[in-house]
Amino acid sequence: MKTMQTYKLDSLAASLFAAVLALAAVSAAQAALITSPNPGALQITFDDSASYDTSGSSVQIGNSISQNVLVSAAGGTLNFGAPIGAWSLADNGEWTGASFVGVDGDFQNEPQGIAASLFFDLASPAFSVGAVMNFDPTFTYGGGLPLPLYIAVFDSAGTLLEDHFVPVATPNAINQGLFYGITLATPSIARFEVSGPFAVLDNLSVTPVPEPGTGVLVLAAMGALGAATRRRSRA
Amino acid sequence: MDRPSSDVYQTRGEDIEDIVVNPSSHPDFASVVAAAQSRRGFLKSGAGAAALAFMGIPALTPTQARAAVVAGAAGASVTLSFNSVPAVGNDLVVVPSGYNVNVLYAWGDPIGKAGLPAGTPAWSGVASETAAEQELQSGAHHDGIHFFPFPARGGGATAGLSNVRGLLAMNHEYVDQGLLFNDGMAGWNLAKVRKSQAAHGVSVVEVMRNAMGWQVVRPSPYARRVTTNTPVKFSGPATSLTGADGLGTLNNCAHGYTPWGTYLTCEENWNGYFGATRLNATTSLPENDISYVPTALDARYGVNAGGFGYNWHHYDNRFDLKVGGQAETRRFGWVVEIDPFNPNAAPIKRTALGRFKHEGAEHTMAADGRVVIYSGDDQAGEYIYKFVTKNKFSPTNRAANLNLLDEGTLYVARFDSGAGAGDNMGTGVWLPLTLDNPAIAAGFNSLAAMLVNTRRAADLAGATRMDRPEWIAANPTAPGEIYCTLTNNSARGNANSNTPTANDANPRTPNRYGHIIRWQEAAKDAAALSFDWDIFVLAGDPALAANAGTLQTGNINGDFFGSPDGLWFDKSGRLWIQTDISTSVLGQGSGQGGYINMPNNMMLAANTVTGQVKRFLTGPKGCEVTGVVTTPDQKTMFVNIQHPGEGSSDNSNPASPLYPNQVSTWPSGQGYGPQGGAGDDAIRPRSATVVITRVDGGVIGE
Repeated sequence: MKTMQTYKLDSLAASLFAAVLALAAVSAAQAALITSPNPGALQITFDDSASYDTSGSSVQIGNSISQNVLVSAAGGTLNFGAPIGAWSLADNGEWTGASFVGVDGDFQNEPQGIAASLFFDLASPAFSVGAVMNFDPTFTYGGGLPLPLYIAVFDSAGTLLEDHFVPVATPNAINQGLFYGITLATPSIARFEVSGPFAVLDNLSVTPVPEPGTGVLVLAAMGALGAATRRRSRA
Repeated sequence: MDRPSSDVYQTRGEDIEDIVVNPSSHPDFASVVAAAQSRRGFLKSGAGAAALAFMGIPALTPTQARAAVVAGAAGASVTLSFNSVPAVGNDLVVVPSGYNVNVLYAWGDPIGKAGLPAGTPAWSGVASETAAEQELQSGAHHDGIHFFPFPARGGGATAGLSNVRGLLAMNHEYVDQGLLFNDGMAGWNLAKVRKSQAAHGVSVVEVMRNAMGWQVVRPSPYARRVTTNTPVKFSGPATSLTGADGLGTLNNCAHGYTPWGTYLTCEENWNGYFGATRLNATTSLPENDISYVPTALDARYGVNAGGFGYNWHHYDNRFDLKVGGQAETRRFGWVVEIDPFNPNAAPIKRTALGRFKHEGAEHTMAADGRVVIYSGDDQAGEYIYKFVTKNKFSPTNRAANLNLLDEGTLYVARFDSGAGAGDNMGTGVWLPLTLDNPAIAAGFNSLAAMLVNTRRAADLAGATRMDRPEWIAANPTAPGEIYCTLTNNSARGNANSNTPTANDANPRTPNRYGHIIRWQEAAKDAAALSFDWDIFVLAGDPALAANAGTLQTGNINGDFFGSPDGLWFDKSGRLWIQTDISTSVLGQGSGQGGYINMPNNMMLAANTVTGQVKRFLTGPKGCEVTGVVTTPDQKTMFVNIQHPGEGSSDNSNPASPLYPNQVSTWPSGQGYGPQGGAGDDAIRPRSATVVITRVDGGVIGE
């Protein structure tokens, strides 16, 4: 993606400013938060979740065509679809059916870090990864600050490359979420993390090949205007 | 504070509060009521003899006076071990040795809206932005600010709230229309009005600290501007008169936040944006219709045919009193709640908290878990209010808290002189503004009507007229101990003003330097209906010869200051004081009440137990220092610098040969943004947020 640097430079002492500015211009991190899938991204829909082998600690959800992806969870239990009825997201409504992945747990209203996590490990590093996601937004620190949803990407050595806290508000909606993802300049994403209370995720999108050019920016801009992305309709 | 109304470039978003619009004829209770209650609270701890000695302020040394006043203070005694900064006139933010200061977020910087290429729309450097671009950039004239931390990543000792990442929510109080456009107000039109409106309101930006220091995260899905044209909701008892929906907020001065993680932005001098329009018979261009007579309701709030010179009403009917403005005035003057964690949620104007020129909205908790919000009405001769919610805060259900501010009781303060007059301490009563109060029922037949005209209700209740109530701060180390800045009142004692006499709580005529009053709620319960009060400090300048032997000396135990405005407690109980000395007097005047020794505005820190005050920061030229908050670990402090470069006439004159940087080039001069000399027209002074850290990584101010 042809982006500028991700973060604007902080100000520095005047004597350093010009030099640092010049440095930043050549080392601009070409990474960005995206709010719609990149064109050409491969998609994992979880429609075949009933056939997954869930006997191990991680579950293969992709195949050799759509990208080999292993999903695992920490801080909670990995689920495919709503165990009974619907997956309640409290104020954010609910997700129904079986074709999504989620993590549940015993969350509390107290300082507990980030609640539970979903990890997606990619067999071959990608440029871009993202998904439609949602969570239960009612968990807080002592009734105060809400625990938000968090996304991050890591390289094959486990080094954090970029992360974002992301808001999702879909009041009383059924099967809705927002798309968030991260695009990098090089295909170095080996792990994608989504963390938050009762986080759910669908339509995992992975871009394993270099992107086509400028259309990406336009699409990303169009997709960023805040409308909730409707998940695939379910029978 | 003269304002030549004929100058079209003149717009004033502040200091206009000096003009008293309270026509109330009720006697100023504190000046006539010698309430016979016995002293409690501050005096109860057995300092009666010392307290009585305080009666003769000028004759006492500051130290003696201090010993009397603070005898009963219960908060934590904090350390202030930094080296005081002298009261210098540099065009820089100056902090103590051992501290670093960096500029983070200036007017015109992109907020980092998600979906836009990072870093866009970039600051033009010459204010050539359109209204649409300004809506995606930082607004002007930064003011109140709060930091909402994200969760900390990882477990164990690092779990909890982040000290390196979170959301900054801040106010953009007003604009300098000479500075906002590269040709000032020339060719005034709707497009310029829209840009002016887009520079008002609130920013929410994501910030994080990395190896380069603190940065604004761009893009961020939380990045958001609320402007004068953002759709908003109204809630609470007065919606029958405001409607349920409206547009925007403006003149957002100080702020507050809630225990459930929302931001409260407060509408202060909203009256100045309204006016009456007619077409000039010769030019057919819009002009002020000076024959227009405002309604009694509007007049009580200072609305008039010309406003402050923003001239929005010339092209936007919403602000034209002769078209839609009379209904629209009712939609401003409120406390507005914004959920920074939900960028798609409309801001909500909470009408239960009353309508006046809300300076801020400081919360604390009552003993039983109800939430109490204090708010000053920032105009000379106006009042101090508090709102007590009907229901209790729920520590386990955020959703249940989100409408807590819609039900409760609004009170206004009466400061009585207590057992003895002239000793600057006494007792006080919270007067309920409800229809159950016979004084209120005599003037209003509905709660909605009363809330829309809260000032009138407070008149009827018999509240005490104060010397411009500004920020209010609740001491986190002493439940029920509340402080309020009374910034100044040059009309106090003027027979032609509505504050013709001094009273115990506002003892100086005139009050050139302002003071900080504090009160202890009965039984240390913020929901109490009575309190004890004293004056924490009378600001002043003891070094000025003309002040010798007069009350203008003040009684500061430490570094001198005047016109206290911003006020905030850090978690340790350190009281941070920010000054807003008008640029019309800044660095001027060697006569009694003069400011010649204070060339720039400043920030100080105080120990509320000992009264010690030390100057921590001085701002660049022509600025006001306003808004301060730290990360949870108190190791990073964010401070807002407002209107650097403002001249003594308060606004830039595009016709000036040295415009726009004849006074200041900050923050350029501090290494931020476009660089150039003082003669370079591209280097505009810009309001900005600065980040202060300690070289040794320690707690700020400790």
